[in-house]
Amino acid sequence: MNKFVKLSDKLSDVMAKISAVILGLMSILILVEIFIWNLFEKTTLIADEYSAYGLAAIIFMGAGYCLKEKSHIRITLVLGFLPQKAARVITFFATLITTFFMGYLWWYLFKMVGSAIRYESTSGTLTNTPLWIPQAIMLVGAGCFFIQLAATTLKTWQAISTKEEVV
Amino acid sequence: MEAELLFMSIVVFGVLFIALSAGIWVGFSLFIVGFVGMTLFSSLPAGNNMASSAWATIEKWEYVALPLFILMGEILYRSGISEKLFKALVPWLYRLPGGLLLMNIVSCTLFAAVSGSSAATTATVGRITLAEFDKLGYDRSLSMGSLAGAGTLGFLIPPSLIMIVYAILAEVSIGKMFMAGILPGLLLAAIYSAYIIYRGIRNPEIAPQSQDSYSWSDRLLGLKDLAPTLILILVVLGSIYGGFATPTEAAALGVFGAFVFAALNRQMTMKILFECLIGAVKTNAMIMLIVVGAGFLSRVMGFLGIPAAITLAITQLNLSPYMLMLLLGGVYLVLGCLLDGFSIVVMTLPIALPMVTAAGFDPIWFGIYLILMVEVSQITPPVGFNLFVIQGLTGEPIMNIARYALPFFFLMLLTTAILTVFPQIALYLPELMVTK
Repeated sequence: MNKFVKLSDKLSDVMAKISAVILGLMSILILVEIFIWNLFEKTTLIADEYSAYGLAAIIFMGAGYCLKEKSHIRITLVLGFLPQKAARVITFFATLITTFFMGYLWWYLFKMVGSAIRYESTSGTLTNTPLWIPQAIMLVGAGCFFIQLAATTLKTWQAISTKEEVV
Repeated sequence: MEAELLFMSIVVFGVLFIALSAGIWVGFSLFIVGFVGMTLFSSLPAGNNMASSAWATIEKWEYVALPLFILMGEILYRSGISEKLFKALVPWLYRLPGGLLLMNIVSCTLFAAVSGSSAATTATVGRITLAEFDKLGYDRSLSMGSLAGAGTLGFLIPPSLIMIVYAILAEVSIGKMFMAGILPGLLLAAIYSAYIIYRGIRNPEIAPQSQDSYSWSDRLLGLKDLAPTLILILVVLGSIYGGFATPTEAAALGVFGAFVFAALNRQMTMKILFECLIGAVKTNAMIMLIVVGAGFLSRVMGFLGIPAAITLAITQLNLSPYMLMLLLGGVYLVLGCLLDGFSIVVMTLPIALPMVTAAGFDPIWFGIYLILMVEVSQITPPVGFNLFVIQGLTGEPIMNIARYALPFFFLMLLTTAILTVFPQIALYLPELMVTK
């Protein structure tokens, strides 16, 4: 059980690092666009579109790391009024429900990517990028986020007895 | 029909309340409520809608400005900018009544013009000023209270992360929103400063005069330390105002400028740059998860007709516009005690915006009103992010810091009232600007 938690933590770290590189590349891409447009009146043609794909990628890819670092926002006000054990049990169930829900969302994101492949959907821009490519990258990030949520569910389960602060 | 809508509204808000109270993350709470609403009250496939709404929300060029401004803030936080601001401003402010307490206001105002968030502004300025004020024997309540109040300028003075989210959801120009925040931000800063000077005149003990003295040449030479901040402000806001750049492009220029400034200041290594990128990825994910959830909930609520029904019901009450804003202000004050700023904006916007525009208010003006309300929420306990930041810096209990911030809470409400009576304070600059 703990091995799974460690592995998922590691996976989230790797995803965050990949996201960091993507964010760096997005910044460079937009800067290149600004400079070549203003100096040579040329355009990369892809800056707007690909930096938006970059954003789509880093949201879910970074979400697992954000969860691991306890940075996603949740309201603990009501839980604070409950006995500690009850609060920890509710936190476990809340995390479990969230994990199931993320799994459900992931399944429909997967189906959306499947449709994009089947219908050969493209961006409709000059690059005519097949949409399944950026969507599939998002899907990988969403999958890793799901795994981190599952690991967090295990952590909250263990925390009922260990009384650790895990979320 | 009305009874059905009432039932739907009760179910939707009931599930939202339960999900949030159970500690489900805000973004997921919004998703879950949208899912329940769509499944129970429509024949549409909730799963497919959720996936397409998520993709439509996250793949937006305008939102790219968000991680870029966060990255710029991360770089500036580590760049030594706050030390430079402090050094440059001390010779100008130390003789005024209230002394260096004004530093909190002026530094936050300047830093807010290069930072997108209140928490970042409070943390960056506070980590320098609070320690200095303690050394000088300043009144702790006023030093913390003024920092809590002034730190909130991070959201009001552009660039502002919350303004970006608001502008996209409300379908108004991000550039115009940014410009609309400038004068109200300066007004709020002026009101804070006037209050501190008044307190300083009434009781000079709050900020004992230091023994140091500075000549005019010290003052003028110190200005070079202000230059990086002023250049960044000019690049980011000037390029948007002049129509040379979109907010996203301006954000990329800001990242570049902050990077160069940090490198010149010998505060930038590959390791630090990577830390900044990771920090930006984390904050971006935190904000965007809420935005994605809200995007879906907004779609569901629109489909069920809840916002339209509530707007109609409020319109039938025949409230005067001022009464409506007072009522909304009351709701926001309560929400502000319980929720963070982003959640407040994304959760209430689908309902509040149609209501307010129906009453004749400008959506850009309402954005500024809403952001002022969000600023208030930053310093109202038990959930107030600026209070948390100051607690992190000082170890002072939350309720004490909230008490110290109370005068600034009332000053914010006063500013909101002035803005409601004189909406041109917000609308003057956007009406003049060129947009790209």
